[in-house]
Amino acid sequence: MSVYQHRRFSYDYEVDICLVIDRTGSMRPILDTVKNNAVNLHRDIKTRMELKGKTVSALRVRVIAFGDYAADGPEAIVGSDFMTLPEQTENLEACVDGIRAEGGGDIPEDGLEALAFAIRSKWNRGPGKRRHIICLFTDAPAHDLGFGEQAEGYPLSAPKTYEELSAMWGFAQYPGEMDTYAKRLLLFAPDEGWWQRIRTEWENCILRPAARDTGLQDVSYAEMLDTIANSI
Amino acid sequence: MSELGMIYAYWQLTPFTTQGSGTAQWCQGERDGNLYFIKEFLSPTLPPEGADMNQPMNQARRDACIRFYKHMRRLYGTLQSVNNGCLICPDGDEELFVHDGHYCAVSPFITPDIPPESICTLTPWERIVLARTLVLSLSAVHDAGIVHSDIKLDNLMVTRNVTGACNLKLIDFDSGFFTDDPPLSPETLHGDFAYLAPETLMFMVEEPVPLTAKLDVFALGLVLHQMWCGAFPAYPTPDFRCVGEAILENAPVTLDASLPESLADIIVQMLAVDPNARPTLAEVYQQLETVMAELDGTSLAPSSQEGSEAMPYEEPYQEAYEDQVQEQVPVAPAPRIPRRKDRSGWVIGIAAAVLILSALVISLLILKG
Repeated sequence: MSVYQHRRFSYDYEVDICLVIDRTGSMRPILDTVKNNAVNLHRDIKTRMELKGKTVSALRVRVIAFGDYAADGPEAIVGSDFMTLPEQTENLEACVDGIRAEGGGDIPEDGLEALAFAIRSKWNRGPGKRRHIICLFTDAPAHDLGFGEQAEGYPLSAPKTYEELSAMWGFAQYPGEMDTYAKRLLLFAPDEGWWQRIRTEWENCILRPAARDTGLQDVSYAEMLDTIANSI
Repeated sequence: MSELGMIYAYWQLTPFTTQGSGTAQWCQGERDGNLYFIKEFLSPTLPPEGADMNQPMNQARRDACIRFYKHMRRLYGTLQSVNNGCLICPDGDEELFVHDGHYCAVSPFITPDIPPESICTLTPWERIVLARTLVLSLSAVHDAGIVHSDIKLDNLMVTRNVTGACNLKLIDFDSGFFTDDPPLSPETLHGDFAYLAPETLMFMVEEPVPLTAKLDVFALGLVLHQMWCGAFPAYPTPDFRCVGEAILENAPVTLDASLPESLADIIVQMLAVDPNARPTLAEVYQQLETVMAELDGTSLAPSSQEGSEAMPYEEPYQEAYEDQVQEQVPVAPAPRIPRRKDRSGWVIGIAAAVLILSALVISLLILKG
């Protein structure tokens, strides 16, 4: 008798998305885009995935807002827990609504520390098919790691060097702290400095170039959604 | 990356997009006036220049790159060695290169004259001829030891030549693997969920089943059905999310009633749950011959008028098919179609000679006079 019969399997995707958002003064446009569409996020991702013949069985989203430790102090990077959608959609709205586009000090921000914070999220480690997506939005280059280490509240657990951060991300033959096959990094950021280096050197990373200081006003919700859906 | 600058020797014409690809991003490029499809793989990436190669992480990255490059060179090289013009894949040393730390592959950019979803609107004769071309092309790929692993309607590019005849190209071999080097884990197997064979679905949930070229035969069965009627076979939804899953669980799967019986027969066999029960591509090809023979003499076959120069689609197809058979897989002998001789050159030559002679005679008469 053939072994190819009567089996019930699950091919659903369990998706975790970590939205890492530069919350400094110029970022009002993209913050508004995320705020205005948070309520539809679950429905829109599900619909796009269904068009691709894939099913999202579980969707969780967390938000990390970041600025500059040297200018903003201990509140430079704040993050929520993962929220399950659609059940906790209101929490997500409130969370995004609570982000004020302000502060930041000089032009570069502590984006690398925020990225490390995102990598160390409590990702779903269940047995099903998984996607762990970090989606980072900024219109500024990143400070070197440790730029704000003298500031109050700077995290002691932050990686000390870019190489250490790269090892946290990991590579197919040298796994880091995330699931090698599940992870995706989507950068909406200026194609310069550390962002450019990450785009060039890290696996499973896509950078959509953004102009400096524009608040990513040229990034539409549809583009954001397509980039996320294509990465699943 | 300087947006829309140069990528190796190609001008980047469009921004990168990840549309339709989970493991790469792609853009359109141009070189020497020709359009190209440039695909940048998201993994692996090269260690940066000057990196300390004694570090285990950098060694691992370098080894991964070497493995990837060797695999892709072998894949593209083997495909080109059996390419009769119906396979669109990178060719030559300049079409697999590193750009900004990522491997890029370049192949000719084809814009289909007939979108994949409109193939079903072609005449029955055209559809079956295109199906035969597809079977021949895939047969050559399999004979070379390669499983395409992403056979789907969207990977067929159908164009029309100047005579109006349709040509079919098979694209996107990057999910392909060699039968002597199959994927070892689900994460390294790619393909469109809607076309996955039962054994592929089992493999994806880590059941120990072998993956062979028969998974392409299953997907091809679905494609032949779509080429004929524009839809997948009917299966119970939403209980099942693809045909393969329904078949795996012995749920009813029904072919479209418009399919000729002989075509339906072979598709049923191609969709067998057990890969070993599926027919070979040679058998599929033979059955398509039967379908054509059945069309012949019915209203679905091209009439003698349709075969004329006004609607030249029978003869060009058969000529194209004949060339393919001679160049690659001799699955079945092709009918010999006599070519018309073009005599227009002779007429022009004779006319020119008469004019020159007349001019000489007149000149001589004038000189004598």
